[in-house]
Amino acid sequence: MSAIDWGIVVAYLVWMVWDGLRLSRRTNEVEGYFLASRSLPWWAVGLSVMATQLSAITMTSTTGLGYQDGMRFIQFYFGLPLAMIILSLTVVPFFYRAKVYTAYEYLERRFDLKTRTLTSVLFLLSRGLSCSVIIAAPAVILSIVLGWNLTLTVLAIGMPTAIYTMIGGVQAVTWTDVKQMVIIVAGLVAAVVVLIINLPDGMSVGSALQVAGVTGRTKALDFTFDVNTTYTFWSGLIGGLFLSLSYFGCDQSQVQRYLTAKSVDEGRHSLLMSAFAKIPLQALVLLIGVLMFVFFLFTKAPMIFDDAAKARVEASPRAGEYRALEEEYDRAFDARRQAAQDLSATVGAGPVVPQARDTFIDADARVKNVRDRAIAIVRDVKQDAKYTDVNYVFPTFVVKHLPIGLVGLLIAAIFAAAMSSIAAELNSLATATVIDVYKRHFRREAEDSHYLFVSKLSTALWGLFTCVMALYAANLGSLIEVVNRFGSFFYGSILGVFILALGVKRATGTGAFIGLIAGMTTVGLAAYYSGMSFLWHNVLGAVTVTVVGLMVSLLSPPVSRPIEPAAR
Amino acid sequence: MPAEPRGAESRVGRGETDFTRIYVLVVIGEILAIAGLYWLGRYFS
Repeated sequence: MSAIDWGIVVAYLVWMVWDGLRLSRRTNEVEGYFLASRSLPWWAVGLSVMATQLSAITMTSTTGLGYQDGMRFIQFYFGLPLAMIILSLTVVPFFYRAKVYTAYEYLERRFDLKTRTLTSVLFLLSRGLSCSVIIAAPAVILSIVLGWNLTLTVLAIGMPTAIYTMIGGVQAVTWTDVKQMVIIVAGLVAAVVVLIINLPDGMSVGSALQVAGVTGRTKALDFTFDVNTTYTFWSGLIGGLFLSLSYFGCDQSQVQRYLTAKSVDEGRHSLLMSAFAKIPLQALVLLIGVLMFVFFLFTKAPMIFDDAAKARVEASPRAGEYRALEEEYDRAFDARRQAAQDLSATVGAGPVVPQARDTFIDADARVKNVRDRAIAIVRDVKQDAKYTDVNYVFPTFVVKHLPIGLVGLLIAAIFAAAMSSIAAELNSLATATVIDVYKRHFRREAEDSHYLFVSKLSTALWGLFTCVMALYAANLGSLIEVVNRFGSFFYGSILGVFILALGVKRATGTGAFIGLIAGMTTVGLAAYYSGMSFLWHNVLGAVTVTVVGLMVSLLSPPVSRPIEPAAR
Repeated sequence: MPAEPRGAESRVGRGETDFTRIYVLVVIGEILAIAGLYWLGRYFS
């Protein structure tokens, strides 16, 4: 990386910390620290909602999915706009008028303390671990692609974020999110422009998409109904709806965003901003992947994008086999480049010529076959059956093929994506720790200044915990998978508890509590014993909790608690 | 004393905006996005 690019990344980090610290002057009481005294405009909250969801994993792995599979992943987001409408009608006014700090606080007013505590602790466990993964995943990739020290990369992402979140509270989180979102979008647009400029002479964007389309990469929709397939229209619409309802409606890292809005209307506007912008934004991210596929048809791509994995194989007994594959890859790549040139010459002149199309498809299949065998060797050497190098495609493109200046901008954008998610999660982890655990179970009455001090201490401790866990996670690749699975076990189940709370007047605390345990057990069994895709886990969990919770509630004595409690 | 909200506003919370039109726009936007993605796959193949 050049000195200019280094300068851009360092300037970005200094700017974020300085800006976050500058905003600390506005937070001198707990409500200001956690909820910005409910004063933020909808557009800032809306950008913060989007920045929180868009992590560095999204930037690296979604572009990689676009490169490998095309636009199919977009279906994952089809349920999101509908979820935003439902949440605008239900939880936004409920939580806002109840004047709660956390979503789980509402559950005690509606049900009982045990339901509140269990859901809050589940949130703390899953978010604490997932926040570590959000730091670790991009740190591993950047340290390999840029040759940086892994520990320093983890600290470079985690520590500045922890510092400005601890001192500035939610004001710092939201306003840095706004700036980070601008950097992320600017970086993504710059990447698209560079990819278009670098298309071969005479090749239009339409021709590039035509070439990518021959391999099926422009085909976004799959109407197959199969619960074992993750990315279909129906899993995205139904499973994605339940996932979005759970994430935006029951996860404190998102609920806290819209609780900072000036009014119920502003909170609704902030969610509906995502409803309009999310699918186009993700389409842009996936389009980068598709255009990278076209770019690497004409520019030599490495057989494996992960240099560390390559070095490990070359130091193993299977090095000879790998080198032979590289020679085969070189021949297959040259043949595909020629086939792509022939194909692109025909697509510019009219409909695709079947012979050129078939030749290109065969050549692409040969390249894929060689790459698959190379990946199989890496999996064997690393003893990691799920290893893939798709997350390295975009960072490799950025570092090796972008001009000076833009490399710095894109690395800053990856940092921004990671930091915006981490900041919101640290802030929400501290909120749940202080409001649902410390204030509720350990010290119910104290000065506001005491709770403010504990809130800052809690943010600092969560920052420290996530950085330490990130260092462990970075060295144990399979842990990332474990954390992701762990979260999917109870995401839909917690949604089920809120469905009972908001939608079933007869539901009781005991019903919700037993339903929650039944839901998590059912999802755990389904995940272990069936091939059900994780998007459907959310549907299964929510339905199980609702049904079991309702049945138990009907068997237990009714408890008269209003669905919409008065503000305290 | 300010007048009671009339028309669409009277169906929602006092002082709050009626979001019905925005919800309809979200649904129309999603249908158009899905149609656009369907067209993308059909046209560029």
